[in-house]
Amino acid sequence: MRYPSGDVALDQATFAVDREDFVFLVGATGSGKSTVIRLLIKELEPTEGTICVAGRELRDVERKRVPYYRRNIGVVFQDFKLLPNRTVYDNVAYALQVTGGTRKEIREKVPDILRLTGLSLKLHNYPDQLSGGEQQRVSIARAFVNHPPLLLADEPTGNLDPETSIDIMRLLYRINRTGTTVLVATHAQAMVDKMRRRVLELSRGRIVRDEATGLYARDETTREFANRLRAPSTRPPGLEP
Amino acid sequence: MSFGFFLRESFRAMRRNAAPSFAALATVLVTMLVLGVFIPIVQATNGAANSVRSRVLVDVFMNTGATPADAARVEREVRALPHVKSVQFVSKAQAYAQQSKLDPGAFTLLGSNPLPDTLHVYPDNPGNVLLVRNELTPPSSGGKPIDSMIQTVSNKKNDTKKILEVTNLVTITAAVLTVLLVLASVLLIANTIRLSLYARRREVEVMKLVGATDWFIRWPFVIEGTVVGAAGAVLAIVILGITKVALLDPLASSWTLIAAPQTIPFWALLALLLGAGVMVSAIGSGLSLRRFLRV
Ligand SMILES: Nc1ncnc2c1ncn2[C@@H]1O[C@H](COP(=O)(O)OP(=O)(O)O)[C@@H](O)[C@H]1O
Ligand SMILES: [Mg+2]
Repeated sequence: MRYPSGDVALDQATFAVDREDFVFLVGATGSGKSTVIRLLIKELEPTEGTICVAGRELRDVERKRVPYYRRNIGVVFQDFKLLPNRTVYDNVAYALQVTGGTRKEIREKVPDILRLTGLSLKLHNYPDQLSGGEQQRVSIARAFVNHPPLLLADEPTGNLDPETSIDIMRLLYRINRTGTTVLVATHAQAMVDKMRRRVLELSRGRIVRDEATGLYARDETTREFANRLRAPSTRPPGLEP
Repeated sequence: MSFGFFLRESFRAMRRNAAPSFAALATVLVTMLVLGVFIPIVQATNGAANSVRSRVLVDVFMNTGATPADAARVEREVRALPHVKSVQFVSKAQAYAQQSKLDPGAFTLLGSNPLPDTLHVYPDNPGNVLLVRNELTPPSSGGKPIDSMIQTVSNKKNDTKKILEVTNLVTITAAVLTVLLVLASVLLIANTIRLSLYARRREVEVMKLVGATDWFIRWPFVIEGTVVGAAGAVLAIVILGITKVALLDPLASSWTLIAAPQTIPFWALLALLLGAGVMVSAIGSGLSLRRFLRV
């Protein structure tokens, strides 16, 4: 993938993710993580190579069909991308409104997801009245309010303190357990190591590591999961020499 | 999604982006005011030019010895010519009465009436005056009048040409100015809208990224454009109406240009302004948005 400016952001970055999987995409800043996500939602067109989502080549999705394609993917953007003229509630509701969601549906689903993301008290705030972490959670709430089959999260804990980060990871894990495929881009290596999930590592636009530690139990409860994240051990046992 | 949703969306946007919405409204207001003043002026000018042109005519002077029967025959012949709209017969006696009223002293000196019978010949179109003259004095017969009882045919050739040229110039200038002004108004409104949309392009991008279709995003903007355009035009109309009733109507009786019958009826002018304001603003919003929808 080359940007119009000539910067090559991704090169030899072939990978595949299974349905209902939970995958981390790690790498230093500038390694191409955000570019992967932008390609997956067809915000960018690859200059070379192909991308398939749910068995469909993205190149074949017509311009007019792109909005409908995007509704199947929840995205937590690195810069949140909240609508500045809408309250927290309305930002989340917008994701339902674009799909033609009824008012009743909106009244049921939005408060639910806001409770889940801990935003119940900030419903009527505008984005510029929220902290970075709160905006990030609004972004997550909006990404997931439709219960999309695929969730992409770009640095979802980038602006959060460790304890809130664990809450967010727990939330993502819970979302994953409902059957949603989750891809999380992050440079928080320590967190990833503790999570013991499949890890794809990007370095200068190249996949340099792809390993599933295989040591986690898929049916681990979210509480066990969170406890493990809080535990002081730095390396998962499987990676020790 | 329902129309109500889009309506609520557009009012939300206007509330939260009051400054750019107001700028667009003010632009529509000002351009509509200028157009509302300019259109009647152009029309009155054209009306004046036309009334001058309608006075362009050919005078046919009879021999002093012509009998009333001769005059009636010539009048019939003239009426039969192409491009003649109407013929007005002025008898010697009428001409004498007219002229002596203008200058009583000069005519009492003469004692007798030196004036001939005259036919005022009006062409169907001022531009055809020379054709009519040619019909009356065909060049093929060396410029001799078509009837021996006609003394001379005069159309004050130079004056006529000048009148036609000047009035043509006035009409063309007015038309060019109108086109330029309308063009400037459209560009001004469109540009104001574009600027206000530019400030919101990120918002449009985000909407696209969370799965909104182009028209889902566009409708509120079009409604907003309609509302802003209508509000600006209505304000302009109110101001024009007050000005007309308070200032122009009292003057109209003494100033013929204002009362010129050729000006557009006031209600039609207002309807035109309202329609133009709404259309330009709504279509401008819809079209300007296109650039930002390519995400
Ligand atoms: N819009 C852009 N135009 C040009 N180059 C870009 C653009 N966005 C990102 N890049 C470049 O592409 C590379 C990968 O960027 P990015 O995917 O944002 O990395 P990451 O998300 O891992 O920090 C970087 O070298 C960056 O400079
Ligand atoms: Mg990034």
